[in-house]
Amino acid sequence: MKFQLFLNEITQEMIDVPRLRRAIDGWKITWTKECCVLNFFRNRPDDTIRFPALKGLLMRSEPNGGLIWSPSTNAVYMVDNDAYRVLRDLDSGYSERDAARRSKVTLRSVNTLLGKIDTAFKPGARK
Amino acid sequence: MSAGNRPCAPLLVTVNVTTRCNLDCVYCYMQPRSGVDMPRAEFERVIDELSARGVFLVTLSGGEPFLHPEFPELFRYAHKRFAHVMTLTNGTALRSCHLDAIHEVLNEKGAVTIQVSLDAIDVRMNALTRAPSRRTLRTIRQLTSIGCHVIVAIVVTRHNIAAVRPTIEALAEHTRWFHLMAVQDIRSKMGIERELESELAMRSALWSELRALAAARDLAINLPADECASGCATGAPCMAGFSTFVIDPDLKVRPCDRVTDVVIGNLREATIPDIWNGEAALGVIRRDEPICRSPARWERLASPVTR
Repeated sequence: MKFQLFLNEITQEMIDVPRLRRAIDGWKITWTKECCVLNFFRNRPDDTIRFPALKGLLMRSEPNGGLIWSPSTNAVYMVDNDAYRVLRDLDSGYSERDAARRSKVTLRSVNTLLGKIDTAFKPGARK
Repeated sequence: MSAGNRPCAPLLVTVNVTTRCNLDCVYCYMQPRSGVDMPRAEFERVIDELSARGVFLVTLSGGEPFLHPEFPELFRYAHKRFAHVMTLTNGTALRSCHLDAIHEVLNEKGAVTIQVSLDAIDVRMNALTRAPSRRTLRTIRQLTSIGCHVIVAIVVTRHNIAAVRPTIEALAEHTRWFHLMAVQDIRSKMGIERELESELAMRSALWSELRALAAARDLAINLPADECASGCATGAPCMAGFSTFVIDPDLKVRPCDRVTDVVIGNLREATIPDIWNGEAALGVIRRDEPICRSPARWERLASPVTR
């Protein structure tokens, strides 16, 4: 199941890194350094709103899966359809085993996904 | 990643509830001033639609949002529909009805985040770019005393650069969140960034000092320079129109809060998906450079969406 970083910060003013590397006249790099980037949630104490199974993460569907935002790390990750379905099932109260069965994936892959999410969305985690 | 990975709806939306403001900050990009309030019914419709589209985070801004005559109701409504709402204020227009609404939401949700803009704790220095600091300081104290997460937003200019550290140190007894910004160019005030900009060497030295201060005092200080090394490749030149957009009180939709003259649609005439997937929005993210850099070329690419 796919789980990968989509945005470092939901509030960042995105710069395309490969294009930035190709910049030759310097102004793009200057613009990047001076741009205003908000991260209101970094290092926020652990007293924000929590949702049961997703541990405070917000998730929504996208054509090829879903996007997950963690208010405590401010990062946004993308998941594929299998992972999205599994996470939705877990949030609805299904056990890991049942969620795996319903999505026709292995229990081990569900546990791996949950492990990745735990690591990625731990406050202070490197993105 | 490429622009093809663009989300199917914005992740973050700024709703400007009014264009009214009681200050005239020298670097303000919300120009010209028009004094329009978003009608409450339209605000609620917009919030409902954003919620239905799965927007993660909504920011209430303006103008000065607390000058909207029905702001307590708007604030309650937004918090009812969204888990996370951010309010941006200049901290000079807070009244008891606002505090009541904030208190109520705090009791229900346990957390409310409000960003207050202040350039210097010193009364006269703050007035050089914003207004005397007394009322804003009182607001910061009031909000933190009732349990709000207050983020102090500081625009670093040649006027206040020497006072940034003392300001943060003084406010650290009330809050640990600080968001620093460098002066940015504003198309409606050409040249203002050069007029106000502090020296690069001084800014670099300040960033280093503040990193050390943050570590020593356990503060969360967000510096512009920190973000340079981060970033994912979206294929788009900047976030404008890629994962975020801005809604004005007259329901005009813009891709970027700082660029006030580029409109990609109006929610009175079109839906969020119409605008999000319209040629005007796509024209913004297909550009090779941020939209603030050369709007004239963008204007030739596409027209705002109307039904």
